[in-house]
Order: sequence, then structure tokens, then C-alpha cells
Amino acid sequence: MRQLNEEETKIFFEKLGEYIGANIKLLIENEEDPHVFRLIKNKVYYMSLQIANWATNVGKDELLHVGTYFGKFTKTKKFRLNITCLEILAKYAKHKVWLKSSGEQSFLYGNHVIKAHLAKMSENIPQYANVILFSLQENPLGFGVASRSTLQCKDLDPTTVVVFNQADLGEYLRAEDDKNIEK
Amino acid sequence: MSNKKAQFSKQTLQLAQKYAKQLMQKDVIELKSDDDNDIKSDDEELNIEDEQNEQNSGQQEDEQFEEQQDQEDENNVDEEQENDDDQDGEQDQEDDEQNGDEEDEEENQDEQEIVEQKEEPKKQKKIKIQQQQVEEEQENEQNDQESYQEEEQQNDQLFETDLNAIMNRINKIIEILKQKEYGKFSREELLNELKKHLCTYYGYNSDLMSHFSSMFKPAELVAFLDANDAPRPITIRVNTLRTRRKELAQTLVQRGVNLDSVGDWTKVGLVIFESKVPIGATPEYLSGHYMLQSASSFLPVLALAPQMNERILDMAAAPGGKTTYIAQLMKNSGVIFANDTSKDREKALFYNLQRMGVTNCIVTNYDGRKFPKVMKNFDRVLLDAPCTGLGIISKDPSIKAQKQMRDILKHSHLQKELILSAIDCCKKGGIIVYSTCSVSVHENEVVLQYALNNRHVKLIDTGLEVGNPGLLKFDDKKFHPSMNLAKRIYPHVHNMDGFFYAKLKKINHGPIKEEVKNEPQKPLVMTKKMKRKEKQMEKLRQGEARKQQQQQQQQ
Repeated sequence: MRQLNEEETKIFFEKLGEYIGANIKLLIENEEDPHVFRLIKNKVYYMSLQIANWATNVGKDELLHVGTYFGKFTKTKKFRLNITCLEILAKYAKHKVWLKSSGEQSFLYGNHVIKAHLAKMSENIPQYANVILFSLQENPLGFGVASRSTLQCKDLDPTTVVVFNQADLGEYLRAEDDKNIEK
Repeated sequence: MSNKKAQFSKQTLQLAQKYAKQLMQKDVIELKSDDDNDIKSDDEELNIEDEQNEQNSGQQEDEQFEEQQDQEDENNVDEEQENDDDQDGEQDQEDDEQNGDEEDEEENQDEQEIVEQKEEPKKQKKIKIQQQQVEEEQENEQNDQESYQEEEQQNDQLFETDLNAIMNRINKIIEILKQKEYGKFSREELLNELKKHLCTYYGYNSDLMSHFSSMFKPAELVAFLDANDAPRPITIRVNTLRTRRKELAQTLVQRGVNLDSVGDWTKVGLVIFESKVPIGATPEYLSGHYMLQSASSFLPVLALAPQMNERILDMAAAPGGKTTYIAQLMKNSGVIFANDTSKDREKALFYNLQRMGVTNCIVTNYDGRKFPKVMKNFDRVLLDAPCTGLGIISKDPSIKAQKQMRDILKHSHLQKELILSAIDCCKKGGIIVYSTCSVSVHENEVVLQYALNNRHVKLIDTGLEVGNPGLLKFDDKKFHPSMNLAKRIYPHVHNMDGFFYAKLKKINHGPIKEEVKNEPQKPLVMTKKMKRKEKQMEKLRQGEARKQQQQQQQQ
């Protein structure tokens, strides 16, 4: 287990910034209970500093996972985010989209979101921005990319795709072997 | 008797006809040699009259012969009627047909009789001997007051096809065993027969069945086996890190789920009776609001009672039901080491931890027996040991046929090693909880006794009321008197998966090098029997004391 080096940190924070913007500070700078990111074989994990220190006692072959899994770096040093970090990122989300209950089911099956399933979206979402999807009960459902900006979405047909599905909770059931939710 | 003889003679004659025809068609030598063997064996059976009743094989042969005779009787009756009707017998006699029986006349039969009697005296002797045997056996059966044998003979033919007959037999044996006198048969024989029938009825191998029958009385054994064939109700555990039981119950009811709380002993359990939606695929499940977990699995974690900011080790954590429960009780504080040997199951453990929102967990892949070398002095250790799964036969019926005594003993050995490691990883004054999903004694009480003999630990009260007390003795083994603080769950008693859990407290580090002194300690939970016995012992002691006093006074 090791800390991320500068290059990796840069790539990783850029990706996170697409979803939560400037709130990245809140993830790291917590004076009471400082949390850190660590790398285990190209996989990024988020944990409190205490736990990171405990984990140093475990051998590198035997240490599998610590804390919350965020995603992994590919061979070409790109970062892919995973659905497992949803709950943490959802707290600080920049752009939000809410779905109706009918749309909820469809999205969890892995489908893209069409206008008919859209309940509301936050203002000023630019086109192709990364969004986090919620149900009407404020339960986070997954990650997506807005296909149109908020203003454009108002005039669309009910069947046009509004948000592309990047990652959704249904993947916990779908991915039985390898968890490859690469986004 | 004379009438019977007359009937038999006609039959024998007709039989002899058949044999004659067969001889005409086949080789003579083969048939004669077979007959000789049969005659000799029949002679032997005749001499041993007293043991005939116990020679079931001999009886079966004769029964078959009886059946043959019965069938032939029916055939011969038909033939006689047809013979009476026929009048043109002479012409038919000349024909060498295989089905010539129906066309022969009685007059021609007489001529044939004389010829055939001279030709084949041996066969008639054999037939007569068999007839005599049958007569004797019929008399014996009529004289027998017990209907046991007759039923057995009838049932032997039925058993391969009729499960109802087997069940009736099982119930009868159980009733017989409840009485004090068993008649001719010893208790052992009856029990062996019962085991055999239970094996065929329920589909167990004989190894496993003899192990269960040494644990349960016959009536309870049948209840246990019945419970293993029926599924237990589905239960879920609410994840208090994300939601509360009331809220979750409301949302699930809105989705069309029929549920209720599990019992008074848990605040996070829900039983699912019916569901319109698949309970393992609702959005709430995916958001980590609850986990599918059997109610028995709540118990060891409740016994462990993890507190905030403690350091906990879960030695065999996959697939993570108990680990996530520990995390929710600790509210994500402190640190949990979730260890598992198998790399295949660690994925499932990982997904469950992530889905349920556990942030204080470190997943490791050590062999549990080597964990003391990695880290020690944990506040609490949970060992949910790998076992044969004899308590969850209702989920996996293949266990009935596959598991044998050697699997139980193999697991027992591994569990003994693991429990010593678990104790070594714990701090002084720390808690170790040992649990398995098996009801066998070798994987439970025996392992705990091994731990008590080799480490400075003691059994303490689990703090829960659910479950029967652990066994104090089994077969030739005697356990420490505190073993009744451990708890056993049975499917037929508690309607939960079979389970065992016990709570140990570590008194000191290191192994026990000196010999353990067997002090007669009083068990901490006294049953009524124990209290009665104590009273009796006291009375005896008082009586003896009085006698001694009298002797002293006389002197």
C-alpha cells in the first residue's frame, strides 16, 4: 500500500472534480478524522488515517482491500471511477439529477435515462457534464453524463435520452465475476 | 389335510407336464443339474426348522415359490375349465404346440401322468418337499402372535417403491421403542432397522444417520429430519448505518412485501413471508439498506457485543454478513480486520462491505492459523469456523449424501487449530466467540473442550436466551461443566438454521503446560434433573453421617 504520487493525484482529482467540483477539499481536509487515499496495486482506496496506519502491518500480498474503493488506474494511467464510492461523492455532488420511480427501475437495469423518467435536474448543467443521479427520496442511484444542458432538456421529446448511464447500483447484481464498471 | 393333498397332486401333475414340454424343447442335462442343486438345498432347509424363521432369504424363495404356485393355480383353474369344455382332445394331442395346455383333455392327461411320473420322479419329489415346507411355514406364521414378520415379508416387496409403507414402519418402530419390552428383538436391532428406513426415506448416507441417531432420540430424530427437508423463512437484517427498521419496513411494504419482525431478541431482524418483488434486488437492497441473512447468524455477533472504537478480528469473514453487522454495531468506528483464507470468496466479502457502506474494514487474505504472527491483542475475535454445514441441510440437500464422518473429523481438526489461533490473537481479558452452522458434537463441544484444555480461557454466559444449552456429555466424551453455557440452535425447535455459538473470555496468555486438574465444579446453569440428583446425594450423605454417629455412640 502506498500514497499516490503527484502525477496520479493530479489525474485522480481531475476526475473527481468533474463530479464534485471544488468539494474535493472536504474529502481530505477533515481535522477531526483525517482521511487519506492510498493505492493498492493500482486501485485507489479512501480510508481514515488511523486505519491506514493499522493496515501497514499487513503484508502486501495479503492486503486486499481497505476502507472504500474509488476506482483504478488503467495501464495507460487513466482513472476509472467505480460505483462503490457513490455514497461518499453523492454528499458533495455538483450537478444532480432526480428520477421518477418508473425511471429509477429502468436506470438500475443499466439503461440510459429518457426525458419521460426525468423528475428534475439542478440548474445550469452544461452539456456533457458528469452528474450524479438520485431518486425522489434522495437516495443516490448512480453516475451519468448529461447529453443536453438543462435549458435544452426542457424542449425535448419524452423519448430522447437525457443522461447516459455510466454507473448504477444495479451493477452489484450484474457483475458477478469481475467488477468492471470502467468509466 | 387330505383335501389339500389332492389339490396339490393335480397341480403337481400339471407342473410336471410343463417340465416335460420344456424338456422336449431344451437340453435334458441342464435341467436335471439345476434340479439336483435345488433338491439338496431344500433338504438342508428342512433339517433346520428352528432357524427357518430367521432365514429371511429362505422365506423369500419360498414366498416366490408360493407366488408362482398361486399364479399357476390361477392358470390351471382356467385350463381345467377349458379342458372340460373341449371334447376333441385326441386330435389336439398329436400337435406339438407350445401352448398345448389349453387343448388337452383329462383322459389324455391321465395317460401322460403315468408316463411323466415314471420319467421324472425327482422333480415331483422336489415339488413335494417344497410343498411340505410351505405348509410348515404357514403353520408357523399362524402360530406367531407378533405380526412383525408377516408385515416385514409383505413390506419387503413394497419397500423399494412405496414411501408410505416405509413411513408407517418408521412410526411403528418408534412406538415400539417407547415401550419397555420389545419382544423378540433387541433395542439395537430395532434401532438399526429404523436407521436403515430413515436413510431410504429421507435420503441420507448411513454414516451421517448413525451420527444423528446418537444425538437425538428416535421421535426427535424424525422431527429433525423433517425440518431439514422444509425451508426456513427468509430473514433480512436492517443496516442501521443507512436506515432504520421502521422506515425500511414501510418502504418494503409499499413495494408489496409481507414482513414482520423476527423476535424480541433482535432490533434489526425482519422475516419475509411473501414478496411481489425479488427481495434480493430491490433498490433498497442495492443501496445497502439491508442484507439477506439467516436469523441464526445474528447470534454470534450479538454475543460478541462489539463496542465503539475497538479493534476486532473476524477470522473467517467471507461472505461478510457477520462482518457488516459488527461494523454497524460499531457505527464505523474503530477498525475491523476481516480475514478469509479463500480468495474466491473475498470478492463477495468486498462487494458486501462496499454496498453496506462499511468504511472501517481491512480485508486480508491470511490462513487463520497464521494470524497470530501478523497481529495480536485484539479486543474481540469472532471465529465463525468453516464446518460441514449439518445445520443448513434445508438450504443444501446434497450434504445428506456427501458428508461423512471423516469430513466431520477433518473439519474438527481444522477448527481446533483455528480456535487456538483465535485465542492467541486476543488480548488478556478479551472476548472470543466461536460459532458454526453445524449441529454435530465433534465440531462444537469437542473443539471448545480442546480450547479449554490448552489455553487459559473460560466459557462465559452469551447474554442471549435463544437456544438450547450445550451438551455436557456425548457417547464416551465428558465435557467441562460450564459447557452448558454454549448455545445450540435446532431447526425443529427454533425454526432457524441449525447453529452453535459460545462465548469465551481470555484469562491469560500462553498455553496450559501443566496437567489440568479435574475439579468437580458445579455447572452454572442447574437443570431440574441436576437439582434432584443433588438432593438425593445430600440425603445419602446425611444418612451415612447419621450411621457413623450411631456407631460412634455405640462405641
